[in-house]
Amino acid sequence: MNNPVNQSSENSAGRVLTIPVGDRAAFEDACVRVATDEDVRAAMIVLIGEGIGADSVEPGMPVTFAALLVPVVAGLSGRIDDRALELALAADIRICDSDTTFALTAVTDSGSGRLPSDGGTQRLPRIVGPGLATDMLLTGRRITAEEALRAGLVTEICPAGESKTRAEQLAKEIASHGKSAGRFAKEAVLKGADMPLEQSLRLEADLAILLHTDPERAEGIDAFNGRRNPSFRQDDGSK
Amino acid sequence: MTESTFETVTYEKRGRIAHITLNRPEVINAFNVQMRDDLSEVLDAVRWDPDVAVVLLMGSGDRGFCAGADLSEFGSAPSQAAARNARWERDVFGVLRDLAVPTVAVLHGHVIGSGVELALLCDIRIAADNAVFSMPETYHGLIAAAGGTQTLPRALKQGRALDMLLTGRRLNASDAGDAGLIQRVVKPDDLEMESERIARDLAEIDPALSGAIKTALATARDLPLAGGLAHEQRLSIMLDRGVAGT
Repeated sequence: MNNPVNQSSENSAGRVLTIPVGDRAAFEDACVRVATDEDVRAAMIVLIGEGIGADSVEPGMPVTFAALLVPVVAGLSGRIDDRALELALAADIRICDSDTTFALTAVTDSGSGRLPSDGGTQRLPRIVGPGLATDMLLTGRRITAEEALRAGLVTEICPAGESKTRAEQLAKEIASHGKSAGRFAKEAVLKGADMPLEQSLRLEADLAILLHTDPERAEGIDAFNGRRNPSFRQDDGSK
Repeated sequence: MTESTFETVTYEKRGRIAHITLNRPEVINAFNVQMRDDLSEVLDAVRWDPDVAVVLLMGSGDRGFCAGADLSEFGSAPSQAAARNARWERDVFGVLRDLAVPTVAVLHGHVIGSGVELALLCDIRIAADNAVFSMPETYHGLIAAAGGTQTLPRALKQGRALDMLLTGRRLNASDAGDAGLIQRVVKPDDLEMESERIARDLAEIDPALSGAIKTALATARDLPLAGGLAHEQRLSIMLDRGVAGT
């Protein structure tokens, strides 16, 4: 696993933060920044798998990553295996290059025989369904980008080499939407998934009504009715 | 045949098939408070009508099923408490979802925001191949509030649902079919005939049986497997004994 995006970087408006994965301390620092800086509206990671191992993704990193409240986009390419896959599963939206493949080799690796323990046995079945997840976990089956798209593991396949740019575009698009709206939509989906539907609908309604206090919501409605772009699309004037 | 026309909705009962049509074609059937109230009246009538075996929900006009919530009425609630009460006082979305009879959303053209959410509250979704789906709420600083953040990830894979909700990505009918958002795609000219055919087939099912299947599917969604299997057994025994209900 080698990732050239080792420095955390942000776009000009400071709204999208790229979280580096090559260095643990830098990764943790960037996650803290995302968690504490309300100007960060979306985050992204770029994972480029070059070998079979995912050496630079250490145990526990997916846990930190999954706790982020902002929407997170992952741009993936190469072999996305084991912890790298577990890290990607903790993102909200995954897109990949056409030559990307995915596998969990921990169980079948003869020298290892390890249980994936950074969410692989839990997030993978929730994201792709239990049939494919069981196959991947027990047999180490490697799936292609096309299979990953059909299974819902990724939502878009980019021409080779373009997933990073495309991930940035998507993150910027998200960052141009309502700040609290994006966070609340993410929360509603992820927290609601574990509830019976009835309770989850209460959660959604409560978040929607909590959003009534958000100046960006008022601006978004006003802009829609005035047939103009909401001002938060250009710069962050809400705080 | 029974026919009632409200300001924003028409209701027509042909045989045992209820046809509910959103009827503000000049604004692509944008969902407003009046439509909520009209739909609420229609659904209350349908809910207690033993002669209705199937519901078709559709939109009038060429441009689409429903372009979403009418934002010109947004932000008018006097307080958060009042808004919260209003949401549950007249829970038209809950009534649609909980109808005992099978419901079919018949979709064409723009199916946006609340339009997607209304469709997701139906059991089966059939769409013309000109249908386009999107959830643009966060663009406007909002989140879906007619169940979309919950029903979408339950109908689609979670990643696809998050993608639609967070980026506002538009899906054409073919993509929506692949994603599982809709179950059938037909030519626009065939939409009416095909949805009528589905409705006639559904109307042939014993209402106690279709009701039990809907209940069992809701259980499958909400309960751990062991509880769901036990519930399925109870439903089966009650059906064998001719006992209605759940």
